[in-house]
Amino acid sequence: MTKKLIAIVLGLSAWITGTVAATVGQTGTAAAQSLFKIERAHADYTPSLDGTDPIFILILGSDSRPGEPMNRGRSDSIHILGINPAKHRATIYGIPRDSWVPLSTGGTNKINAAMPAGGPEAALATVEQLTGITFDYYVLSGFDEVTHAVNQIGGLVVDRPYTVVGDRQTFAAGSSRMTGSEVLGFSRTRHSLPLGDFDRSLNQGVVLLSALSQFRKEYAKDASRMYTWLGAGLRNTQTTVPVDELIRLAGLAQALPATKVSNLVAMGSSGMQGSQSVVYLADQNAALWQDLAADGYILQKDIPATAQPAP
Amino acid sequence: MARRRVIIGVVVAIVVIGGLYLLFGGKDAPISIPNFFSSSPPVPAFSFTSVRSGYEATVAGADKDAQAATAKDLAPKVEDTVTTLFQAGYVDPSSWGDAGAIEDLFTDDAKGQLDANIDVLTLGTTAGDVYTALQPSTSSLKVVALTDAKGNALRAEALPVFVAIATHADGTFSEITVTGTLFLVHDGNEWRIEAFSLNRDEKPAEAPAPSASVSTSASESP
Repeated sequence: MTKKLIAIVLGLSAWITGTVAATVGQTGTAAAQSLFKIERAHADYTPSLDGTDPIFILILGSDSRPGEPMNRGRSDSIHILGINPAKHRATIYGIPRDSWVPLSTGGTNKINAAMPAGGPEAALATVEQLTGITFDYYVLSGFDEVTHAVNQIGGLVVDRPYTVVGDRQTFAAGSSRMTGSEVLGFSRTRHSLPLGDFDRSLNQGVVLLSALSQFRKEYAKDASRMYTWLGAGLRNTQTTVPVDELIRLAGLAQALPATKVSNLVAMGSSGMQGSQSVVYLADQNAALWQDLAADGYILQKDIPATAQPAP
Repeated sequence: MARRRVIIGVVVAIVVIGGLYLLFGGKDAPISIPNFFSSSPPVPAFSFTSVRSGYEATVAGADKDAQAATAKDLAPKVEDTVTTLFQAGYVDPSSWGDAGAIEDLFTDDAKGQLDANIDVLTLGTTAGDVYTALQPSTSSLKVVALTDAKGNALRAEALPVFVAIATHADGTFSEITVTGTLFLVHDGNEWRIEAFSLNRDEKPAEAPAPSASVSTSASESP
């Protein structure tokens, strides 16, 4: 009987000891680790454009007035956006609206006349014919639409390289948050600029770069801003860029600071065609377009001084 | 004699089981043996206390009622995905740090990012060394539908505010808060997470009140 009791006690002791030892062991490990404290941690992932093929988007601004179809106005603002996803570089290449070029719809005219003749597709085909660049998408906006889009994202902080005297307002050099109508006014100002339409096109590139910088900042602070920007952008444009691609572009934007985006405008000289004031594009542009078509970007150092923003 | 053999057999069995526990005891042991001295609480069922819905239209002048109705319909579907994420990733200790337990909630592209972000998408790979349990507290969710001209949801955005009291193995407590944005896309028959940006904060906390538990949800539209 005594032996039985001893055996039972030994058995129970082994169980108890095992259980207690396991429990104490866990507590000991945890106590040693209790100094480990995560105060703030972050997880982040957005699908991004990748691959080595460049992406080209033609950005058009229509001069259509309220009530007129945006896609039948003249494209007074024309910018090629080239993006190299693999190298995280991009280029904005403006083309003056008065550029005298062969149109895809036939004949030679100011480049902004292509859209009234055949819509944004004709404008795109004209720029393709001119530059040798094949576009993946286009984005088209108008006066009211730009104003609304900027207001719907809460204004746009634009860093203006120099003071611009507009028709209704002077925009002092420096950085400030601009309303939609101010951004439109700044983007449309031409008469007071030293190089007229060339400088205006460059300033429109400055606005696009400002939008990139602001989107990056806002997304880093609050990712939900992506839908605010997508909504404001899509409500106020006509575009062939699908939502999937826009989300991947937004992802790519996280790795694309404005300093990696060059901004230039086509070189040329003013002249007359009959009674029309026009721009004759310089032959120099061909080599730059070829460079851009090859990989989606032009390095700042390769841009002639005459095609860059004023210091 | 036979009775004696039975008793000896029982005693030997007890000794063997006790020995096995000594060797392989603990929550990671391959053999699960009941631990009568451990007080592992049952895993709570998590749900958001409040769920709101909204929309972001991609077309100007879209029918507001249709957009709002879409958002309201979408909210419970997105809520399911996000609730499962927090249940598996945070509330259930058996899947802390386990990417496999949450990977079905993500698109194929996003699955490749789970390991790199697992210490925020879940309580963490070493959470079992630090915490013993997690009790969800009042948590909220906002679901935003990105809608097309017809009022269809193209995408969804979920903005959770997940709050929980973690019990540390040393007997202390901390409040864990997870906030940020999850982007979802309709993938197959489910709304899956295609992108995310989440922040996790932790601060010391008092012991939770005995009555603190979350088990109901409510929905509302803005």
